[in-house]
Amino acid sequence: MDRILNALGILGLVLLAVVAVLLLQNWLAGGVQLDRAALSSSFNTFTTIFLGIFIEAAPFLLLGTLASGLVEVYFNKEAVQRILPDNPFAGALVGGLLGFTFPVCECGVVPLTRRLFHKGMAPATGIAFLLASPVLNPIVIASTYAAYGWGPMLWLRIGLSFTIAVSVGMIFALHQQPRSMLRPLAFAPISGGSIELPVIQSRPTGWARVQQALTIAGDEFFEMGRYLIIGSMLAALLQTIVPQSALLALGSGPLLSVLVMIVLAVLLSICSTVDAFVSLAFVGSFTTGSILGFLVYGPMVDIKSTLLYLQVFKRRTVLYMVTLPLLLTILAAVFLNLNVAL
Amino acid sequence: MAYTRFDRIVWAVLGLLVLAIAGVMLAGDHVGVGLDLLSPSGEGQAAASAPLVLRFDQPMVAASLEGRLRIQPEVPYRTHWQEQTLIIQPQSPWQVGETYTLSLEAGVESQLGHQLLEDYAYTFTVREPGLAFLVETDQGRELWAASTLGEDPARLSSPGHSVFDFGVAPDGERLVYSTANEGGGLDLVQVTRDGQADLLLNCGLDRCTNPAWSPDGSQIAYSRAPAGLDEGQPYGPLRVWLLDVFSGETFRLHADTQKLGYSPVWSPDGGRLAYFNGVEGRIVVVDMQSGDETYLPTGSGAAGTWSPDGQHMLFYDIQTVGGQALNVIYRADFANQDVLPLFDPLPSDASYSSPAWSPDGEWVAFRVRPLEVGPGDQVWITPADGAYALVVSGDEGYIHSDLEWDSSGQRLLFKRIALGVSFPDQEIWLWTREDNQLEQVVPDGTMPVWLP
Repeated sequence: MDRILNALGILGLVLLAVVAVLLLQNWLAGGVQLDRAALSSSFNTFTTIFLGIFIEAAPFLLLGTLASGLVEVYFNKEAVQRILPDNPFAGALVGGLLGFTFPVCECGVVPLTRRLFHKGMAPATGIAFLLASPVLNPIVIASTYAAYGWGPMLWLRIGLSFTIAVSVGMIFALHQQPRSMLRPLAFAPISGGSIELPVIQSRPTGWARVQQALTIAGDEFFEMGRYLIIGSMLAALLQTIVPQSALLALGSGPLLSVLVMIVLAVLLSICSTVDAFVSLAFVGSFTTGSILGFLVYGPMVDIKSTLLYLQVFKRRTVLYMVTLPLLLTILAAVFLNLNVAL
Repeated sequence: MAYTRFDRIVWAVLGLLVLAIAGVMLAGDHVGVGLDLLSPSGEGQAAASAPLVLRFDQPMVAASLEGRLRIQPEVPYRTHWQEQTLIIQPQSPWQVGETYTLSLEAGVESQLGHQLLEDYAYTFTVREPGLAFLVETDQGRELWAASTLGEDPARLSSPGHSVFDFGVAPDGERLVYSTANEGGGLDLVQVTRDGQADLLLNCGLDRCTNPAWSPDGSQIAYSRAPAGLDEGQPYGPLRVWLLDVFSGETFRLHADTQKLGYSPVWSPDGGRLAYFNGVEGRIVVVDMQSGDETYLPTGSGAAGTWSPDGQHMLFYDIQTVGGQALNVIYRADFANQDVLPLFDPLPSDASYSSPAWSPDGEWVAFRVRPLEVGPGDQVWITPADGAYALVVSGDEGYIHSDLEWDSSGQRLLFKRIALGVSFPDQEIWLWTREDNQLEQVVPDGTMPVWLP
């Protein structure tokens, strides 16, 4: 009950903040007089965008939490540790390769990674997996193929995402106390029925095992879901305040176009399973590098996924997880714009 | 929270990445802007009416062309963009035999921030025009062409294709003709001037006819009659359609399906398209930018002839003059929105029709049928103001038609059929203004058109 009240309280506060920001925007645009119609229109826009992002992402979060539940029930810690390499650099490489196997996007990958940390996965491996999986998973590869065919955009998206994910993972492999990058509840098995990260105390068999996996998935879905809601609200709010058209009007030049498309990717917070189709609209009017930046960075970092990262990693780690891929993406995209004719 | 060795490494990496980005930016653009010349495609040879068409590989900043685009020797021209394609049209046809150079200076910018890295230049010489026409055979009509006058013509249409009608691209490299398909419809087939044919538009059971290439070569206007609902049912009414040559997309000129018409004719600047609406009995002139329509009531059954600047049109209509039904030529002024007879006072002893405005704007050729002579007619020319008239072909034992000026306005093609002869040939003749000479160029052919 406390959990529900807590979650409702947070959501209420966010909603109040949304209304306050929209009122402020209305006041700045229209002067002292409150324009009820404009406010209502802004709120409608906000609601539509919010629902669009949330409804799109929720099934993938559910898929991720289901995978997390299954991992918790069917994989023991020893098995996971036996599969994954001890060397953290090799671990980062394996983390990147694991991205090809799990059909989870940026929302679903967070609970799954958290569960794998709990099972003993090294943080460098987990971070590489976390960054790689939203792009390299089979569903996203298929949707990118559907949008761009077997062209350079597909291979560049796969290759660059893998390279960035593994590179960032390897940088994190340099950390001497890697577990200190994680928030305690991300990896510590909490006994006595933890409300934050449900773990099993005994090993049931058969149907009971499935039920247990589903219970864990359900708990985790509601736990991570509130951050998804808040992230979606923030993304919707920013999109309401900063119109896409204003952003796109800035978008020319080899560097500026990349920055604009990356900001757009973060603001839109579109699920990586569909972002390839969205990006098609920008082909021809934006540089190839900037579209690649949109497709590579957007799935790794956006508003809702950043909020989810903050539930697993410490703030400074999240800062690095955001900035390292950002600069790597910009470097690759700008290099592509200025040196490769596609 | 204390900064560890790891934090220092990360900040160092971040710093290096920022430097690397700056380095890549400072190294500059090595990609630039790519461009292809789509027209003229004749290896240094160009038609007098050929637009210069440059396709860039990215959307361009049109203003950056200012001062960087040149044509030598200088001629007035207009440009317009169709997405990434720049179309340059001279305001009057290129001069036959002259050599021109199109140049584009490096620095032209794209909307994506790239620049044209090297100067671009293309030199071409304007070739003599040839002739295209149809020949009636036992198997139907065939399309023939000669690259220059005097050269033996060759068949262009594919064997077995019976040609309904045809149009010529402004660059003279391609022709398009309508021909029957297996389903009974009429398709549009494209053929190069050396006879390489391929299907341009499959019209299925519909009948696509009257192809007219836009002056910039980017679109083909044509008439399309939908097939009846069932086999054996009559065809539906003709409407004007457009085919985008670059994308292959087709669309109706008017979204409103109630707007009917056929025989589209482009204005020389491509800004207007005229066609004839047989139901309403009028020429419809559509402004292609605004979509505004102007109507010219006439019973002539065809659109008129454009002035070179596209601001005027000559057409004819049946009028009662002195108790006689005569064809009278009118001049429509689109800027002033008025229509006046070309000749004032109206002639009462002859019927004037089928005007053809010369591309230099100076002369108008037309058919004259004196009332007292009989069914035969003559070909005359008059200055564009109708001040006086000269006889080109005065033999009244023939019916003349298909008057076609060349790009310089110095030569006129026409067809004539002898009267009082069983199964007469359709002769194609050429009149030269300089020496006022008439010469037969094709002993049996129809629908002559200059092949630029």
